[in-house]
Amino acid sequence: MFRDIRQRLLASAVTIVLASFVSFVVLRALPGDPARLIAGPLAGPETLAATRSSLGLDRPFFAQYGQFLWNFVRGDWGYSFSVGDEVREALTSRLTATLELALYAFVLAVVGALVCASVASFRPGFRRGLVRLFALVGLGSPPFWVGLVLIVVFSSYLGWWPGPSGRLSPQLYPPEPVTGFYTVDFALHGDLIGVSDSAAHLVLPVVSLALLPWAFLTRLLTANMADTAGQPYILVVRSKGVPAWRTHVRHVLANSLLPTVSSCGLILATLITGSVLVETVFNWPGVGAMLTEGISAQDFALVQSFILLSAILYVVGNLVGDAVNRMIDARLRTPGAAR
Amino acid sequence: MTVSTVNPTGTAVEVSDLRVAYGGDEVVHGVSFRLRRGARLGIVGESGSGKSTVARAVLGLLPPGGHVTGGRIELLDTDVVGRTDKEMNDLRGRVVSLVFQDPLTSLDPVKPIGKQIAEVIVQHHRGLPRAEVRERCLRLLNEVGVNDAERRLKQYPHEFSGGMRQRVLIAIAIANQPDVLIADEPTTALDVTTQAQVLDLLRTTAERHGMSVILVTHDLGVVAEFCDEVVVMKAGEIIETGTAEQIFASPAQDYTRHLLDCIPRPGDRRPGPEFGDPGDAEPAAVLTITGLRKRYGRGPHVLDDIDLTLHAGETVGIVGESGAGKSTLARTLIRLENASGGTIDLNGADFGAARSKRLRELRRDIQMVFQDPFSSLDPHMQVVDIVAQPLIVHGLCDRPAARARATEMLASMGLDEQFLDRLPRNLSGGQRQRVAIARALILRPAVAVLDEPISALDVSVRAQVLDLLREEQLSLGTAYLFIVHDLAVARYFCDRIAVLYEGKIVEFGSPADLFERPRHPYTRRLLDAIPDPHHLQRRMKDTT
Amino acid sequence: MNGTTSAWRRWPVIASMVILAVYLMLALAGTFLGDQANVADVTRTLRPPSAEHLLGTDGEGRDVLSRVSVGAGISIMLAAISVALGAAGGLIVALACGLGARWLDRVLMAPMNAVLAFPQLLLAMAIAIALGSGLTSAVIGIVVTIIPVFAVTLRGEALRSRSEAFVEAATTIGLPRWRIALRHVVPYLGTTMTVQIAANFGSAVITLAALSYVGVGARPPTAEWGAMINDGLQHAVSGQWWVGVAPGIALLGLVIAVNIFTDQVRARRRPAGW
Repeated sequence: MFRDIRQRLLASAVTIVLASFVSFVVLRALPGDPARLIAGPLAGPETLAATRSSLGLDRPFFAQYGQFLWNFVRGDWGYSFSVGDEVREALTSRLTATLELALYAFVLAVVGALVCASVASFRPGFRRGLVRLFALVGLGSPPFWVGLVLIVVFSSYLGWWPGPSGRLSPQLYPPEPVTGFYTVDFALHGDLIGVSDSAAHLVLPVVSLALLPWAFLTRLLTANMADTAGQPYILVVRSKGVPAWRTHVRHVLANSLLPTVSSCGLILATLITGSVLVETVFNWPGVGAMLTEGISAQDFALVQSFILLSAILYVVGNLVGDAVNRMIDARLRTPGAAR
Repeated sequence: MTVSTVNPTGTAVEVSDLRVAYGGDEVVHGVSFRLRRGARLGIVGESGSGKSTVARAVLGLLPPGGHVTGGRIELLDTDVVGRTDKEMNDLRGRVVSLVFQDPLTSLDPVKPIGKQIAEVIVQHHRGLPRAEVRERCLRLLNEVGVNDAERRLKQYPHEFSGGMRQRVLIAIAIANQPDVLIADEPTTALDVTTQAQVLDLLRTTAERHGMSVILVTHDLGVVAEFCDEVVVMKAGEIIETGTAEQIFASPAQDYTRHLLDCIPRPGDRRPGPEFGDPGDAEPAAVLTITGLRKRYGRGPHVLDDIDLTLHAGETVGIVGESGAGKSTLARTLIRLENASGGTIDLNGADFGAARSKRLRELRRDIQMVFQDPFSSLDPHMQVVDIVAQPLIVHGLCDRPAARARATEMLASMGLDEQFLDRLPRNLSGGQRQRVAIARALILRPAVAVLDEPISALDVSVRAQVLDLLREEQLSLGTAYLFIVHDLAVARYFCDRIAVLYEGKIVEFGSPADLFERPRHPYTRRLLDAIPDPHHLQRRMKDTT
Repeated sequence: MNGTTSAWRRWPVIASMVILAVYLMLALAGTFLGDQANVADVTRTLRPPSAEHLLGTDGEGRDVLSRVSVGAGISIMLAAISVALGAAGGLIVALACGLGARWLDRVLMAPMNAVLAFPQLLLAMAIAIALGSGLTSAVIGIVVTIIPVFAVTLRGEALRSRSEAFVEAATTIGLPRWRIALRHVVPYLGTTMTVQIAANFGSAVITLAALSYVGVGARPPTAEWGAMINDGLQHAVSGQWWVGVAPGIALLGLVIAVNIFTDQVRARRRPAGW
């Protein structure tokens, strides 16, 4: 078992190192003048020269890569000219806004998928068709467009929730930061107006962000449930006299979750990508919106750190998914155990 | 046949004019039978006969899309057709229960065994104290012969062997002492020796608790061992009903007789001259294996020091249970896997050590017929091309000539022109296996390795395929290495038989020697375990 | 399901085919319009949908329907090119990995996994920026991220094919490895290939739009759907919803049609799932 885990960790480490190499190649080998990309279009000749020497562009290729890797590991991720700050500072200062959004979206997607997939596999006919249709729509819509449609319908037309106005209405002041989540911080200070205002501002962006992972998970879960429901052990459980819904909760769900949990990394990836696309729509002051601005400004230092970090998150997410699987499934704890 | 009955006149299950349809297609056309209390009824038929559908209809658990369209199923004098799922849940697991086909997939892989047994108890005894439930689980495991029950309760299905899992399933089925037990092919996925133990367990527990049993199977041997009444099903209808004695001694229907004939009787031999009759010239050795070994990585030896010689025109059978190394032997011999040691001499050439081009050339003389004809034929190729391919590969003739030869070969095997341009999925199992045999033999190889060539086929076509193999052998002189788990078939078909046990050949000899005078204890165990319908028949003839 | 099973199963395929045909016609109309769709007219800005302009006009007075149909041509064409290149590259890698020596497999798969670790869109963005924004860069970015998707799935299938009895049978007949690959393994990969091509076509359409939306794909005034949605964003709050909603619906319809087709192909192979 430990050998198995060690191999997984090793493979993940190799993937991360190779990913860093890929992002290095994209930065250094593809563009004509990396220094120009890193320093930004407005940099003067001295800045360019300084950037060149700090990048070590005169040194051999692999020495440059080593330097890049070392800088990244110690947390020196370069200077973002579009933000006007160190990349690391810029990212961390906006992280909580994105995290609040992503966390709620994650919960909504997972709970929604569990409920909808159960409904779909349990009630054939109209309800299954409806879930299926919504999942198809979710998979086919770019998140930024979903945001736009939600704003048109629920903000401009119905006026239920605020449109693209960030995390709070302008007349309110952000709460004293404790967790960085406005909803939680307002609640901690007992400010109910703040709680409801920040929650209202969350609704539309969370839904836009959750739609894609929800659709993805719903489809995956429904397919897995259909698979599981056809297994002989489900027939055996039913032959014990266990009612259909209890069989579903106890046996079908547990067995369908296994393959779903291992796609943890993919869910993270859709959330990261989604936040990049959704935050600008709602003027959400998170890392996603910052990246979008960085992209249009061709702020390469920012983009590069961001994609490398998300690759690392993806790999770590997969590892976590594996670990959770191991906890649920006894077969994986015993080496060499086949079905 | 003594039947221990609680109430000899009572009826446990009475099915009358049962009709079941999937979508719009009726698959069971008016089936009627009666199961007496305490009796054991066998429903026999080939795949697609509707036997499993009938069994599942009794439980009210038809596969999705299936529904009862007519008739009655009376379970202890109450009709279960048309009952709500809720009402059925009260009966399932308490009045009627199920032992299902494949023990490997019949237990939830992520729940410990104890929970799965407890589930059926708790379901029908709400509010039973935990300690009492646990106590009952332990008692059940002990009753079905699972040792060390305390520890076993916490274990997961993958920690049990196939036979042990089937015992656990029986424990689940008898937990609430139901009146009726439905066993759907309960032994099919098990090895012969385990099969005998599980059948024995089923019988003793059924007798102890006075349960009535419906046993669904394709295996007449199992029925002969287990049942006192039999119904034979074909294409959704019952074609014959009777006591086991009647069915086996004097079957009324041709189909039943045909099914019985498909099982070789002891002493039956395939047609053609016996091999090694005195007076024949010393036959040439075509394949000589010496000291063959195989292990995976650093694991134990799957094959350990195998010596074997095949002569032209003879059939050597390899028998043994799953895990004995039979398939590994076949795959290593044919060089689908490389041996870890030893030599394979094919007609004087060192086949075991040949590489790349030389290896491909030598393959012409050693061919293989795979177990599963559904997967051994390329689904994208036409039948005639599949058979012609070997000729073209070895450059023996051009494409038109190869196709002509293939056509001839197929015709000689009873597959005429209408089959030539079909894809494998449009053939029946027996037809596919004939194509596979044609592909293997069209090169006139010196040796053909037959890896369980009939075990994936329906009983009624097995004999045809065996006959075909024998005809071809007589005309081509090919030596067969016949991997087989069915001892009756081995006895019928082979000239010499090797018993493989834990990667070693423990006994080797003529069928007569092996069956009449088995020396190795393992061979004896194997022989004792064979369920044999003719056994019953012979015994009855003795008494009359 | 009941007696109408087969018709019920078939209609989604037919429906998706019809929708795809409509899109092709729309795209064809778009190519005839060409640059006309980009001509601004300040006298008719932001008109709501009417008989004259079925989908209204945008902030510069351009007919939205014309621009949507030009966009259809761009999206379908570029997504097709990206997927074709990605599939070809992925197939070659997969065959080399799945049927070649183990060291080759390791050497080739490591970078594939490394590329897969990045969220597809973000890596495509980075590549597109590095190469200088534009549709060509966007396509290159998409191709680079698609190749490993094909490589990994097809490699898995190729590896599985090795233990398929009919491939083993081909070995025992004496067929050389490369001929087994061409004659038996490539047809075996056919269904997976179809599913992957369709699925990746859909996601390529979305990725392309997303790249243009963030400003590294199509440059204005190109009538690309993503760029149009971005443009529509500023009008959404003030009530001119059609500018941004229309191209999104066009995109959604195309992707849904492709996905339904994908599902049907997949379901025919594996009836258990969707």
